Amino acid sequence: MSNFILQEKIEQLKAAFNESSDFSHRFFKKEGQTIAFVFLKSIINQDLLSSAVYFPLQTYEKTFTVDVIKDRLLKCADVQEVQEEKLYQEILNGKVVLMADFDDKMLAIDLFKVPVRLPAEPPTSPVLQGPREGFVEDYQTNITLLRRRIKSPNLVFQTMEIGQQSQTKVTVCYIKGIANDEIVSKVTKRLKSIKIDGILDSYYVLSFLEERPNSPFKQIGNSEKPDIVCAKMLEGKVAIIVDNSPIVLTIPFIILEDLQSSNDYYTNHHYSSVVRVIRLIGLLLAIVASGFYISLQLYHYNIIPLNFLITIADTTQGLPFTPFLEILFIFLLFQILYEVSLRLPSYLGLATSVVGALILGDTGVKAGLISPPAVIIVALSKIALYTMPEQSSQITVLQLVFIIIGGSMGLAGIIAGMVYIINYLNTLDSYGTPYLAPYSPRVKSDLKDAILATSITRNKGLPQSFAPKKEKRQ
Amino acid sequence: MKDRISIRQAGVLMVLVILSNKVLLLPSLFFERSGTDGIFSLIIAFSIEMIFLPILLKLKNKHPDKSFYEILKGCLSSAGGKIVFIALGVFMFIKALLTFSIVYVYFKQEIYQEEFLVLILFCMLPVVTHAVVSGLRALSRTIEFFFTIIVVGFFVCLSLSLFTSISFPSFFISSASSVFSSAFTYFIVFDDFLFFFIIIDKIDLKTGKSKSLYFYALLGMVMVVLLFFFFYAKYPVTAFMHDNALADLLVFSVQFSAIGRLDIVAMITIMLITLFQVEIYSFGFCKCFEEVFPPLNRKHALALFDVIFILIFTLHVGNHADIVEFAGGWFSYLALAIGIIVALVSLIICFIRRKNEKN
Repeated sequence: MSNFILQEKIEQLKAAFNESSDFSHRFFKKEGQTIAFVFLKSIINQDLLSSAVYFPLQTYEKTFTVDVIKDRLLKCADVQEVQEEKLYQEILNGKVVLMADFDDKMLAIDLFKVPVRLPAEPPTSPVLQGPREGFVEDYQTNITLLRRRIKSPNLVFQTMEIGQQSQTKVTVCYIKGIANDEIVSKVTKRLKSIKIDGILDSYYVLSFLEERPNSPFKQIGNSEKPDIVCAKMLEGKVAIIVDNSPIVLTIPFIILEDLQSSNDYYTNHHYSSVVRVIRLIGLLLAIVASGFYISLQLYHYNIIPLNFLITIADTTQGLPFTPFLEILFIFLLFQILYEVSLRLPSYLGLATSVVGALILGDTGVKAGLISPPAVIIVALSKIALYTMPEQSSQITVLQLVFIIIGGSMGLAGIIAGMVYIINYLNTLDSYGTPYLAPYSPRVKSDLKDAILATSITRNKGLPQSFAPKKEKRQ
Repeated sequence: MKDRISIRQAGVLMVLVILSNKVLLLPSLFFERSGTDGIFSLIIAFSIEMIFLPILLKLKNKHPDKSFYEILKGCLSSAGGKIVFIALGVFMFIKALLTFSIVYVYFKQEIYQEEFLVLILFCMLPVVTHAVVSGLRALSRTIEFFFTIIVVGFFVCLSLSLFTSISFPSFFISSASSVFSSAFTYFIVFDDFLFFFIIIDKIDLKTGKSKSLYFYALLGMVMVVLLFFFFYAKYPVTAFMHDNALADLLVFSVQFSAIGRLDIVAMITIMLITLFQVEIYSFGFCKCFEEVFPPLNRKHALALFDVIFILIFTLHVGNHADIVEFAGGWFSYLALAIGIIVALVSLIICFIRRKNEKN
């Protein structure tokens, strides 16, 4: 490659990058030999470029060849020859491309560096005991966090680039010999078939991986904690890391996963069982408490114990709203407050809570617009929602549905509604795994770690619901 | 294979169909005819019904992957198969209608205390339709999910009936003929195993595991017999006045301070049992329809089911007298006839095959 061609090539590259301000090149000339470096300065480590690339070249006394530069001079871990057609991609991946006028070969030197957050405890999954590390936005760091926990050659990472513009790195990880090959190939196939301009978060990928994208229910698991993802991979699941997202997806997913918490595995299993049962009660209360209360008031007041009936009758006397409208009003009030508190800065959020709880709630009761039992019931169902925070959006919709059903059809409607939902969930399969497993269908071996937990010493089998290749953990 | 069910799921369905129509109105109907000896009528009917189970299993062993319609077609020709399946479809529809009528009367009398036909139709039919469209696998998984709740609810109702004055019912006070006639008069309430002939190809029967089906059949029967026993013990003289046996067990029971009468347990249990029974029978009807009219699919069958169901209900709203007339009329003879035909044909098929194998 002559000096003229070198110049021309750099001009071509500059034009291809639309003369972007972070596109940079530098010539290094020594004893009639010219070496050019092309890179995007926004995504490379410039200190390392000086110390590991320029400095060895400056101090070298003999004649350069590209092979000598590659094998003896550059002090970088990843230096590879690059072909013409991959030139743009390598520059975009944070590599410095080395071209010389004395050789046609070109080198790509990996000096990628972007600001990376350090692994910290994720705000969505705090633990009392156990590891506090969480995933970050950098996929390489995330891979490191997983590799650190599973030091096995069977831990496989398959990376691909998705997104026409974003070229986001998406990594499929699984443990060979445990994960079901069919699931792995199905996931890989689906990822490869994604046609999109850009992937900005793992949620973009999630939508493509769901088997029933129009279903309101969550079908793909997710976690911000490497210990949880490792535990899931050890059970035969497949994890998907998406660059620029701290949330790692896991497949297959069953609803029971959201009822379990990482805390459960770092504490006594008897306590875990009790807590899980309480969460289940919480879930049930969150979904049906408000609707059930309306149905009791409207249709089945004769089954309310007399003491409670008198209290309710006392407090609801003279209210302008019917029980249905009253509960609906309080539900909307709570939901508006919740939405406001999410979007406002924290210092204003506190003020909103005070206004909502004290002024709207208390004054509403004193003004005779709403009754205290109704406020308690809706508040209870709203608090209970967070026993399963991962499903809070779905449960909120169900709350509203059951309020309407309870108000219009009573208890018969609520039971019919429950049956309908369970039947619907039974039609969902997550990559061949029944959504309500291990209860429906009943998988006896998996009941050891379902609602009731057993000691880790007794739970020797792998969950068969996910069809792993192995039956036992050891 | 898609839409197949496990033995456990088949067993759970079996318990549900055995409970069918028997937990509310039947104890008082039997009592009207044969007093507390109605429990023997029940046992007689169960004994007859139980004959179907070994025949079913035998047929399944002989033709593991063939549907009952295919088996019948091979034996009775296409027309014969269609006639039997039309009869089975009608039987399934009548059972669904009967179940729905009984629960309608229960809810109207005990809970809503006003006309709520549109409400209950609007509440139940969409759920039933969705379940049938989802297929047998989803339906049986749903029933499996609620099975523990149903069994616990059932036994809680029985246990709560003990918190009141009960006496051991005196038996052998009615004539044998009245005991037998009760069993045959309301035979439409039995004959539940016919459903399993319709779905015979969908049951994943593993070798050596078929015995567990006997366990589930026995469980269902024991549950019903216990209900009869507790009901007659609680109302040894006035049982004929209590049309909703399982719910009425809780009436006059001791109230637990703040908890109250716990009628809600009976309500939930009855609602679940009924809903699933209607789903099962609707599925049975649709399966028969699909087999007899092959170009038409399940959705067509369901549309037909829903339309006829709504029409019958809106034109002829059920009440207690209607149901008694309905259950004790010629429908019982139809049930008996279909049962005998299916049992005989199945036995002949098993016998012919065996003879051929020997040859």
